[in-house]
Amino acid sequence: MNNVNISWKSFFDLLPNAISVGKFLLVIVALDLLISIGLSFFISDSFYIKRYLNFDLYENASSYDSRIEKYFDNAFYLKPNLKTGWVNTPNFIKKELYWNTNSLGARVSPEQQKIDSLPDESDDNLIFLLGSSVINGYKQEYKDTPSNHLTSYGYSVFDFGTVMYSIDQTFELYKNTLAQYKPKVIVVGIHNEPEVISNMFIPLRIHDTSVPFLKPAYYLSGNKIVERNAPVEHQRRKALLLMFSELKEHDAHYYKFQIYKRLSLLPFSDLVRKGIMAVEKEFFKADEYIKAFELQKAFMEKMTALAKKNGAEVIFIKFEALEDIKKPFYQQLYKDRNTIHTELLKETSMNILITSEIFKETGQPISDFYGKYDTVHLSANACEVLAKKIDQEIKKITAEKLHH
Amino acid sequence: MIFHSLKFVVFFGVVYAIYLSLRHKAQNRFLLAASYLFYSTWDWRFLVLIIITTLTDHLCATSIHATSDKARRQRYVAISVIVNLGILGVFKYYNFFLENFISLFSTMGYDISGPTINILLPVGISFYTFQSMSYTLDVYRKQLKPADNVLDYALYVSFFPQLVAGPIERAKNLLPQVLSPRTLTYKAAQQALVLIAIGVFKKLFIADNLGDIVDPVFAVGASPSSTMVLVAGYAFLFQVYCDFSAYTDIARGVSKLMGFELMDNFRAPYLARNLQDFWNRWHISLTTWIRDYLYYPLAFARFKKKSIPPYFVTVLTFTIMGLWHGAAWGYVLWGVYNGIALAAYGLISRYLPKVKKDASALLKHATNILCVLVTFHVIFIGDIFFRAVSFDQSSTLITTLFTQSPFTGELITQLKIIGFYILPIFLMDFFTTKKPIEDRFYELPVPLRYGVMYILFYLVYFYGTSKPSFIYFQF
Repeated sequence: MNNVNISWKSFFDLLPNAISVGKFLLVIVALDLLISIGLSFFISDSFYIKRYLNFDLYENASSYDSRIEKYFDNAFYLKPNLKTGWVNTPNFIKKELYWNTNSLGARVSPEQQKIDSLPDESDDNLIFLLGSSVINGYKQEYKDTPSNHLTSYGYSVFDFGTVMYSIDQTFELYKNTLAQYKPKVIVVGIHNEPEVISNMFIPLRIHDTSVPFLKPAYYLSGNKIVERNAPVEHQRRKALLLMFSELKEHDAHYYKFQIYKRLSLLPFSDLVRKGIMAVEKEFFKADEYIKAFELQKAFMEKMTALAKKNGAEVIFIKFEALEDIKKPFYQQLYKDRNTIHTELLKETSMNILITSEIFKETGQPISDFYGKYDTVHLSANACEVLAKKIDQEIKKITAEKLHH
Repeated sequence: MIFHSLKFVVFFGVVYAIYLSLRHKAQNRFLLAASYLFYSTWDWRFLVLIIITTLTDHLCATSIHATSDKARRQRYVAISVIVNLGILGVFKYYNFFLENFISLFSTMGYDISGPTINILLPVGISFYTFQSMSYTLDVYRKQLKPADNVLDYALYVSFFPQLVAGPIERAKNLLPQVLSPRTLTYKAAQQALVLIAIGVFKKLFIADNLGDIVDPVFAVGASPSSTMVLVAGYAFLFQVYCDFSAYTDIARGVSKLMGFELMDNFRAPYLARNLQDFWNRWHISLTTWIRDYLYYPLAFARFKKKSIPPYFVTVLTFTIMGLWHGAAWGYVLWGVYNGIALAAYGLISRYLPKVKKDASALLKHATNILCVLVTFHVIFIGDIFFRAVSFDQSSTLITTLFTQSPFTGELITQLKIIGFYILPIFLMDFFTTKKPIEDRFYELPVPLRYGVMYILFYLVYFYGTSKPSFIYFQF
């Protein structure tokens, strides 16, 4: 038997060999980077775009996989709209997917026979749910949606949640179509993603089956909201390259993003690219995020003012993805985008509910609140918890109103 | 805590750093604590079971060793076997047998009931129970001297790299390594890193990607075409092999870094030329356990001066091996099927035509390939029982396969897809039939070595996917 026991000494004895291994690794990393950069001068745009799309689809397989295609495959559940980019197709029935809409595009129960039911403006319990797919209980059976839970509490609920909607679109929808029905309360879902950018990717990722339109884009000039781009409708199944150039024109950011993507051909250079992007996203782009948050806040204020004029109260729900709540340790070392967003919202006097706080109050593990498809959409349990919280908030607001 | 998680990397990093700072005896105590901590990340309550198993077997082994009285020795070994199988029976098989008794009696017109246990299956229970049992059996057979200190023995039972999914180490191999000072050489460190890298590759690139093809076909309520049953069946064979051998590779790599040598569990099983050959290459630590502690005792036993027919012993031991995997009829059927297949092979092998020694190389190769393919497909049918969620499903899938032609236009497309994942493991096995991969790898020229590692990294990086568990954790 060997009497020299394994120890730090035996570990350090390996160092000279480890250094030579390290040198080889460095050479490999350098070659990887050089090849990636070199090839980017010779390989065409279309190659990178197709490759990017394939990998993006692959990387996002948990959320953008074939199940989405099955869910909305050629369903034409959305239709173009000149104000908001797209709206839910009215009177749409897809029973096996629990996805039915009424004549205004609100999601209704599959069992509901009369899908052209309209809101009764004299109804004191009339509530509208507005925002993205998260508020409409995406991929949940209708019985598990926040809308159905609120209905069971005695409210008359109309759920206008629309896939990939951001606050600007929500505002336009409310202003142009829904305000006339005089809901007493509107519940609006908002996100911490600067949606102006993220929406750009969606038509490319799942160009055949998902949102085939580009949303309107705005910016803040002083306190004034200015429209930068009007909504654009893509032709369904348009050639990818054409679609990409259209997007490039629509938003310069996308083009920059694409330049980085050119480093993604080999693994080490892709790691470097991801590193650059992460650092840029968190630090150098902070101003852009704050601008996007300010724009969002301006729309929220506009919406609150309009609702007030129409006799409605607004409750905003700040939806956060699982990764915003369960942050890796290094993200806890600095103020990340989500924290900045939360702080900004808390400075306002609007009624704002924050999902992470609602979920934490229950004491249940946070991952229980997210569906099995991705880390953004809520589980059935979360929809119920959220509905209860909305109910409490409505009661609180009503009581305050009576008191005043 | 699974191997390919950040949690494990941190856990192992901390454990390793402390481990290297300690002297031999303290290392053992510390590893025991780390192993218990590792196990308790699944459910700390199940630690009680490991401790009961450890104390019982240590006590029995010491008592067996202390006496030469045959009856007493037999009594102690019986206690050890009863306690181990009792724990396994209660926690793994109680509900299964109870439900089957109830349904058996109800078919005979008797309405009986019994209390079912609402309990999760303790992870790795079959592995550590068999491992611990082999110790008392070896001491009883006078092949092993018991450990002087129960804590050393406890480390042998619960050594964390192989605690939840093997290899099922014999005390003869692992216990001396616990008792003696260990070393770390450059070669061992290299081999360890290669094993870990290959294990991660097998798991993330091969097994988990193939799992995405297999799962929908075996999902409850699915009605796949014959083509998809064939493709998913092939995919499952490689999924289960790569998933399990990945665990073994990582376990061996991690152990090597700490100076331990664990046994290899697989030797290119799908290149086996007959069923006997296959079972010498598949889950070696279990098959040799079953051979040494079950098959041989039964095969050499005499009942009223008569021995049990060897073919019956084969079927019986395989049935028990099937049941070892889980309390479900699918595993029993898998065992019975493989037992019958092996027994049948034993019966007919002597009548099979042999290739003459002076036959052409081409004929020899063609025969070998044919033998490999036949063996592979015999295993393939058995694994449908293994993977199916119920007997109904396995019979439906097998019926679909044999009543509809799988040779459709889709077959080539699907085979190309699974071929992309299977090709690397095929190449690895092909080039490592004579030497373990960790040795064979270092025979390659240096640039090729780095090239291979770079390709593995490329595939995992761009195409890897991850399932949050290993298939064999459920056993």
